Amino acid sequence: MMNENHHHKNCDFSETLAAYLYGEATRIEKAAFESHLPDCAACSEELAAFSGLHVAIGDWKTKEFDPLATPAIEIPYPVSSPVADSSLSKGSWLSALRQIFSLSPAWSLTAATLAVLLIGGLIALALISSNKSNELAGTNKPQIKTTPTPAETAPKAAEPAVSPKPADTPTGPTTVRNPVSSETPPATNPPVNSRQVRTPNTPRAARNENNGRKNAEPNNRYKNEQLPPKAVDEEEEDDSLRLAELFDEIGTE
Amino acid sequence: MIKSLTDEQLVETAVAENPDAFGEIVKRWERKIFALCFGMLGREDEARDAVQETFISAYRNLSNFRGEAKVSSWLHRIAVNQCLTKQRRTKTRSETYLDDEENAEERVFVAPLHSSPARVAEQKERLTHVRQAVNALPAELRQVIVMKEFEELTFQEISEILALPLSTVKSRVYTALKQLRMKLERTSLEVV
Repeated sequence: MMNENHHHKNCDFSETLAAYLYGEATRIEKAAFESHLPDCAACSEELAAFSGLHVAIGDWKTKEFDPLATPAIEIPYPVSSPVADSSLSKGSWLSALRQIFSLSPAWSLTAATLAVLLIGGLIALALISSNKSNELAGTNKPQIKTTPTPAETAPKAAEPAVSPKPADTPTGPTTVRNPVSSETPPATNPPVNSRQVRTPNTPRAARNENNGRKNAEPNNRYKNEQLPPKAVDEEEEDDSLRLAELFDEIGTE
Repeated sequence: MIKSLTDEQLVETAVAENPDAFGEIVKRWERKIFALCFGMLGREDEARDAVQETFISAYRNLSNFRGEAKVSSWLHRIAVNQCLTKQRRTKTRSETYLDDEENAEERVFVAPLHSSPARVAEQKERLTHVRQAVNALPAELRQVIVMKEFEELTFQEISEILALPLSTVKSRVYTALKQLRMKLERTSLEVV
């Protein structure tokens, strides 16, 4: 048995010994300790004893601890988050329903998809039926003219003129005048310019034509509102005539 | 996603009431904390209770974790405190459970297949003495030797966990080994 007080009276390798035992000594510490060991019986004896202890504790761990399964840790988590608590606290049928949906996301997703499809189908049916009823109404009732043009007041000689077509008429020749519009009372309505004539009901082809004309003839917007709308060529001629008249008037003054 | 987070990030996530984050912390540390508790208490059932209580205590005090120490240090400190509290309670209930050989008989002991009964008995006795010697160490020495031997932590890791200087940890391990040697020599058990 070793004298406990003997060791480390003359040497101070306690910490290095511990580090050396567990293989954590630095290279310098290791070299210093190994050069010290042959000269110090106490350190050599202690190292041997500690090494045996290390093995013994390792045995204890290997034989008694390692075979043990890690215990299943049961953390008392709250049943649900505070947000969920507030919505589910009442225990109503709604909360029960929410719980079912939250438990089966696949099922709820399928149900939502079916609902969207059903609603979409109903909307489509409603649109189709409304279109059919409009068509039937169009055959029985006279069409109401929303924006009467001065073209109706102009004599037949001024024809052909560009006029809006009803929305449900097929996109045909744009120069055909709407026969219904001639039946409306003419002079009492205020005159409108060509831009006002382009109602949302104007067919796309006619609108495109008008746009093209607007780009080609930017002066159209300045034409006299009192003048009836004419064909494209006539409008251009008409503008030039009016300008000539103006210049004449200025000249005479 | 959660697995790539650091312990500290996991705590932050767990504070925001994400149970998965705390579950990941448990998964990372349960074995090591179990080893610490087993080494500190020397009994499986006590160790299991201590691990459970450690993680429950950690979960309940998540909001108090300020990030000044590592999560591992925080968990180890809770575990050591749990073990010490448990030991104190046990000691007040009965004289001591460490010498309770009835309980020692029930402990798991895995002997080599070809060992003779005498050899098995000898090994068993030896382990009992080692366990008793470790459990008789002062708490500050026991925790470092258990961390070293059971958790196989480095001195540096122990130093960080216990917030102690590295030299203090080495010194404590040395002192613990020295005291263990003395205790085992007193029981006339030749360890070496």
